[in-house]
Amino acid sequence: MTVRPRGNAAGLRRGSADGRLRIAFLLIAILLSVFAARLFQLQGIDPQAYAARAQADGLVHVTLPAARGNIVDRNGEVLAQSVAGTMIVADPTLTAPHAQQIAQMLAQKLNLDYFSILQKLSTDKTPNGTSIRFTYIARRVPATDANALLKQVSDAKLTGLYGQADPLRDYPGGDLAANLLGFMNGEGQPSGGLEAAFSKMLAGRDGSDTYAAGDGARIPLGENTQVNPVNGQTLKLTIDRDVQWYAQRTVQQAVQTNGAASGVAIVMDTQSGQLLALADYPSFDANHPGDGGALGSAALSNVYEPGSVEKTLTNSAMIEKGVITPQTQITVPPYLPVADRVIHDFETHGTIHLTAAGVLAQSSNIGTVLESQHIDAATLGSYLKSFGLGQATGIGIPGESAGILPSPSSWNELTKSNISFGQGLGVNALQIATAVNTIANHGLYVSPSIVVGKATTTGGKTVGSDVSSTHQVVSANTAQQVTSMMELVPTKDGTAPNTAIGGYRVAGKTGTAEEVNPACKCYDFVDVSYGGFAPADAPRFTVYVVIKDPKTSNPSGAMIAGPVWREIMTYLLQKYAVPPTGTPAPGLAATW
Amino acid sequence: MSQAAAQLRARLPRFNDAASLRERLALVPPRMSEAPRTPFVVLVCTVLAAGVVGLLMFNTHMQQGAFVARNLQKQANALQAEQQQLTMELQRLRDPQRIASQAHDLGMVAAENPVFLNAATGQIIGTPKPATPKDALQVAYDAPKPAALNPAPQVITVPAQPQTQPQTQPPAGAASPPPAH
Repeated sequence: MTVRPRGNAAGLRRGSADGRLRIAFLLIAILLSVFAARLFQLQGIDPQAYAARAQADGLVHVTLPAARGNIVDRNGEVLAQSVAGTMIVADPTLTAPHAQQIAQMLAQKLNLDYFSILQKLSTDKTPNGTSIRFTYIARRVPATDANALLKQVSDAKLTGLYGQADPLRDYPGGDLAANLLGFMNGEGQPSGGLEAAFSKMLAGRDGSDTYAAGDGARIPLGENTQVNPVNGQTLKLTIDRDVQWYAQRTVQQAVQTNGAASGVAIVMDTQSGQLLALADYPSFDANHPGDGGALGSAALSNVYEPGSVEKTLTNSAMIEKGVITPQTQITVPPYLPVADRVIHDFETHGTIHLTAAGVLAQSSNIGTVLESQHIDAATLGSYLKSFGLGQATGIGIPGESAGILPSPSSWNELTKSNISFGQGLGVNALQIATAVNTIANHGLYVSPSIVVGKATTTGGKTVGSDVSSTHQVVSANTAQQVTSMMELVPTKDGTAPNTAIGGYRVAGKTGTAEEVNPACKCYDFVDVSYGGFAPADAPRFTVYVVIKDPKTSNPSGAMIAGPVWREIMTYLLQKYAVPPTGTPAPGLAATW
Repeated sequence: MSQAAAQLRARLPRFNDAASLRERLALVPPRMSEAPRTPFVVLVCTVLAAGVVGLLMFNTHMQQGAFVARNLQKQANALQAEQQQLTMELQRLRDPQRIASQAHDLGMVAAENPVFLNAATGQIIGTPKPATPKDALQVAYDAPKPAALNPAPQVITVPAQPQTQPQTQPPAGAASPPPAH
């Protein structure tokens, strides 16, 4: 029997395996190339679009806001803080059916205006027919109040009211140090003051959270990427909250009692130059800046002629130069013609015999001019510049003015005479307070600071008590002599016996400066001031008070600013437990 | 086919020749009993099932833990908000304004002079003076009146009318008094 080999007639009926294989391979190759083309289309051209579409479907991206840093006083008491807040928003298309009920709950719980809320909740269509799906009801509501309200609304089975995070800035003291702190405006941006100046360090950095969500809830173990927020840093001020409050209220009382336009009180720690208080009146409530009042710090921005307080600086320069001593005898005429003007004293008098100490204690302009005729303009000008006049102190609060000190080369005789008793130059309250503090600090100028340690402003400037600069303006001996002269002011020989503090040695100087009215360009009103320090032989605090434009008849620094100074100084000595030194006052002779 | 090729083919041994077939045939040994395959399959299926179920349980447990974590986080947030509320309340109570108002209501005034008592020796340092009511501090913060509450007075000027007849009723166009404020 023969067996037929394979591949013969039977193979012809079944066809060639090779051929089938080839056809199959061809089909597969076609299919794969289709896949390859599609792959190239998906991955090669614009792969991001598909990935983004996939992500958008089900992924939620939330910003985690950074908590703004607190501003605290020197003892850690909070002056400005960030509080978790909620904004209440509504979907009018859902709230319109039950608008009255919801509005009633809102009005009761959050103290909002019922009628305006009702209006917002029931208006679910704009005039041209499109439906309104979103409207603000309340901003910056404290979180617990908002949560309670939302729970009440959802318990009553009402829909359409939602809460979203809306952190708010709270100022527990209201108007306390508001002139320094600034405030946050309606958009949550800092506006003025320390909030704006140190905004970079206070703001921190927001984080973000991306997670998969289903039906409004986060899917556990789903995709979750979180970048933690970096909270802002705390800003510690040199301000003592209680002293600031007390200074603000005493200044307010003096301004209101005397019908004045404004007032300033500055308290400095003598040796370190730290500001314990910088009080302005009028001020404003930092929680409600829109309610009016004076924003910002007039103490720093307002420039005025310092008046007789500046005589302490002139005397320091003259004693340092050896031109006079406290007991130099001066014959003071009733008036003094200088150039084309005539200089008068505050009180009319005949020809009197005063020592240099008496000239300062009685605040005689004529006596000061007579003394200053022995010192030249360049020297006096350089001492005033060394005392810090004419330059901004740079404590870090925006809006500080540099004051005006005319260049000594431009002084004529009248200018020099005027400047010697404090007219004809412009200062802000902090500059003159710092200059008086220099005398208190044994002739060593310490630049004032309002930040404990150091901090960098948004503009890149580093300020603070750690970086305060000092330089010796006059010798300690000169400062002590000027202090002895100033100790006569609160005595019967001086202009302000009412500023004496029983048991203590205090040194002070009254000031009554004439101010120019820009409307008539004439000297129309006065600024009264008082600057001094205590205890005189071991000064702890320098206080300076200025009241602008009191409407009383014959206003003087002694009667208006002096009592404010005394109240603040008494409070300070008591609060910081500074006992009297017990040493006898030098008791220089005022007359001869 | 050629004669030589046929002869050649006749001489070569054929593999399917009957004799060679017979030689090659031998008794097939008895079939070996194969190991049962079922237990292996069962084992594999069990391992598979255990793995799947275990993974499922593990995953479910973790997701439950995530729910618990979420609830605890919500609780922590609520407590944090409450703590903030309480801190704010505490600050309000410690506000110097509030304390001074209460002191003022009690009739307290600021001291006239700072005086110290050395508790050990009983020595009084300073000059004590009795406080008087005039030392009271005005504690309320008086914000300057906003313009809305402090309007300028309305001044209405009316020229004087010569009197020609007795006035029984106010003449027309009389000035209305400025609004009280």
